[in-house]
Amino acid sequence: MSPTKTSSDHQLILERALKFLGRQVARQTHEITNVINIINELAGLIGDMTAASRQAKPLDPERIEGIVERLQRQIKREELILRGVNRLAHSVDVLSGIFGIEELNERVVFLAERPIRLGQASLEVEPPERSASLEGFVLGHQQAVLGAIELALASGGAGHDLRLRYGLHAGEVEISVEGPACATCNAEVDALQQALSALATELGGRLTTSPETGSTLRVALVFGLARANDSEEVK
Amino acid sequence: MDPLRVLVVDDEPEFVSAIVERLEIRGFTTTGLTDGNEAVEKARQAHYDVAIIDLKMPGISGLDVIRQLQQQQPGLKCILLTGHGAAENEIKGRECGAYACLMKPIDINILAETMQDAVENG
Repeated sequence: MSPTKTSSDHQLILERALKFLGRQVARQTHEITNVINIINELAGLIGDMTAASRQAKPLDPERIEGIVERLQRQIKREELILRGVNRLAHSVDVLSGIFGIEELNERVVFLAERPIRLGQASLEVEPPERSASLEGFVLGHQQAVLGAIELALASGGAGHDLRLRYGLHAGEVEISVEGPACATCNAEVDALQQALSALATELGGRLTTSPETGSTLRVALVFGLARANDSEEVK
Repeated sequence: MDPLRVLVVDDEPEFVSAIVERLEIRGFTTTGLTDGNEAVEKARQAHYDVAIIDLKMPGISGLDVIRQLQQQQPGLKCILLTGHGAAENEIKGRECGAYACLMKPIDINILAETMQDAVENG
């Protein structure tokens, strides 16, 4: 957060961030619940087969092994979700500081998984070419990049491919999301764009979207780098 | 009596597979799908007695799927599955014509009883 901001500005940013954090936790609990539901049914299936075996229907070891593998896949999935939620929770350990773009990308890609799936879309990620760091509000930057992805999702309608890119040049990082141009432009999309623009400004960056017409929408967030190539100070 | 023909629709493929297998063990003839629009399309080609529909799916909500299925097959009994306990989901489901709303994690035996009840008494 910029030191020139007033305490009421900071309060507003924190309130928005808290709401963002709450939304993300709620989303992830849905994902966790989905996995628990699957585990519940697979465990029930083993129970069904065991009960059937008592009525002279022999257990099929290969089928049981298959169910065990399916259970293990869900447990692995749950581990990844919990790891992501844990990382999200630790985003607020230090509210403002220096953080790597790769780390930001990892967190955002995790948070984007559910909205991307529900939007029947895909997200191709082109990570930054080299290490670089941003300085500021860690959670706010996650909120902004996820906001750019959600803006592109809302604009393009269901079932399309998005591309998330990180471009480093002239002491800045440009984090862009490309997807189909507005197929369903409406007040919701406008509101998302306005909120994202305000957030980018609050974080000391800027938002550009282009083109307003045409087949491709490009949402770009630009922030000044704190550090590039691990040690080179650029800001 | 012919086994009930059941359509299961949920965007989690593994959930659908497990439910289908468990219902098959209980003697139902079951088709599982992970896409609500595909379910609407499938119901144009085949007859089902009961449809089990998840509330929250990509592309189309479970409520919209129920509305469209019931336009196509007015006698079809629909059971809405929800991951949340909110009473409003049950109200919305019933307004759309769902016979019942069950909260996940479901008890497969209660689901089976609800399906039988829907067909026999609904």
